[in-house]
Amino acid sequence: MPRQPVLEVRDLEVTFASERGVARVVDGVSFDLAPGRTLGLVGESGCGKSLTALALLGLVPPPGQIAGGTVRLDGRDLLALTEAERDAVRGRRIAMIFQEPMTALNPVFTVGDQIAEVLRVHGGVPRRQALETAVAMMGRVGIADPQARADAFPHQLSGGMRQRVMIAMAMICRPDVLIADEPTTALDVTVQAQILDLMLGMQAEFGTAILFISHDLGVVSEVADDVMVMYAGRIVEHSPATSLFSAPLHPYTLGLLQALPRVDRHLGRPPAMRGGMPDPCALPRGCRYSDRCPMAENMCRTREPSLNGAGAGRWVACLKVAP
Amino acid sequence: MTAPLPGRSPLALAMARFRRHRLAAASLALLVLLALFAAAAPMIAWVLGVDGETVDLMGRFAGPSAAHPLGTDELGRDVLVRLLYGGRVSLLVGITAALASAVIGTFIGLLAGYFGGRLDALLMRLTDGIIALPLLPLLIVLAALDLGKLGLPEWLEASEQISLYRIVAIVAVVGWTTVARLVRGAALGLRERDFVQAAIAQGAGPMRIMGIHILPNLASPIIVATTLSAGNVILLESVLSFLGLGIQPPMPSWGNLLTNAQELIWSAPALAFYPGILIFLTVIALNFLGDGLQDALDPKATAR
Repeated sequence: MPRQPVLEVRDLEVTFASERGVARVVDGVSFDLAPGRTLGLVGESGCGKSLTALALLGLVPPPGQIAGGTVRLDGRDLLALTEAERDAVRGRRIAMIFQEPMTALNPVFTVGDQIAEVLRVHGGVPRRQALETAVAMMGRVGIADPQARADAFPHQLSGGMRQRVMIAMAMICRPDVLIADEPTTALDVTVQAQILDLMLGMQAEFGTAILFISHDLGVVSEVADDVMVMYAGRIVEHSPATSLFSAPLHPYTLGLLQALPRVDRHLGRPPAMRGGMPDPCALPRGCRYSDRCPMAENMCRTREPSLNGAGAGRWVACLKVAP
Repeated sequence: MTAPLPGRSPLALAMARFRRHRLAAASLALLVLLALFAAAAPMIAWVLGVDGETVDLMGRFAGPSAAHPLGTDELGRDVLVRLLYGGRVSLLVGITAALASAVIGTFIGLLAGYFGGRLDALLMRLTDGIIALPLLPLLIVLAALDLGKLGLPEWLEASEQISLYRIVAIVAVVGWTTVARLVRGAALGLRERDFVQAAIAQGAGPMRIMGIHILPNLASPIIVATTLSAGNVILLESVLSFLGLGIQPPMPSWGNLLTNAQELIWSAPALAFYPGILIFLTVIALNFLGDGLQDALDPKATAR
């Protein structure tokens, strides 16, 4: 049953002006996020997935800029807000978890103070009360003995513990949308599973919509309801997670899945995809994947495919699959 | 189950490192001692039964005695008490002027470094401009300004402490550039750090980010720079007083005590020796302290 989306992104464009011309690194990205659902966003390094996340919060670093599109939160376009209005949305309605929990925490503050700071920014909550709420939240994200840990500095905690602190910071205002940019990439596998469980538990409790960004298809398959595959700034496939993993439509998705090592079959070394991500200042004509695609034909090198419906809630940008 | 936290807080670590730095710890002790004696000047004068102002022409250039532990000067005033009162003035000028420059410099550096762009260019050109000014002639002109014409109230202009306020203001006006450059450089780097990006993503505005997230990370370089500049200010005060443009007698400062002693250098060398050695010790102690703080607060800084 599709619910009313909380976040609607339409035709989002991020450009970087350089000496070699304007690179459109996020090009016409559109998607909806529904409460309590998780949307995975996967792609190789440099495909524009992190910039998509930053653009949602209006945080694209210069010289990059948001060149077009709308990001509607409950119908209100965030990109049209003033900086002060946007500050009121950031952290309270849309929160973000960063990849590296060590550098995303301020080294000179205790973690309790840092979690409390988010409340003080948004609620004007008095210090003592904010700290109490922060300690309670630390308990909820599974930090043992939160009262004592609240007085710890980031360097005194383990990586997994720090990521729990980041989650506590992100969730303390009970945001409607959580953007998680590679939240488990810096953690080892056992801790990774715990953090994923924690995020899903929080989601179930608060009904948060999650945009889960990762280059790790294995992780995405565990958490996402729907998955978007991004290539060179464009969404090339958008499907429910189960069908995407069992029957990928886009040749690029197929290539990514085939490159995964498997434990259930002996295949030798998984085939690597040939070539690399195209230069964003000199994209190939036609389909951006055409120069790496094993199925490419002449028409792929002249016409650029758009994201078309392929039935069963699936969307794909490929001339051969959905012309 | 309360497992002890591994490691200690940044402050505790810094204190431990500072204690290992013997020279700096000794310097700090010396400075505290000097400050305590200077602060206790009226009490010491009372105990000795003298004061720094009483002229005793019958007892000029007296040698050390129970009543005058360091003897008397050319007007029969007690040298020890005058040195201590002078220390009050010199230390006060050094500390307040260094603090005032640090405050101005931090403010300007933070704005320039965090906002960048045109504001940065404007503020840094201003800083370059001030650095390019020939300092001594400027100070001489500033010190010679008729404050009444600047519109200062008469009571202030006529106040005995006016030379003290004036020198603090002069030093602060030209002295903030070092801290401003230091803070700007550090703020430029901190601005790009993930935790600042995270704070923006949490909805903190620019003022909050500068004040809460960036400034505390700048504490160590600012403290070190301020300590070192306090020493420079004390030297500068001596120079200005020596030129007759600093603290005006009869208020004593180490600088003008030294000036006073120059014509008596042959007949009573001790009068020049005492303020000279105090200035030397204070400035060198402040420099050692600054080095020690640098090592203690920033363990990553390469040892020089």
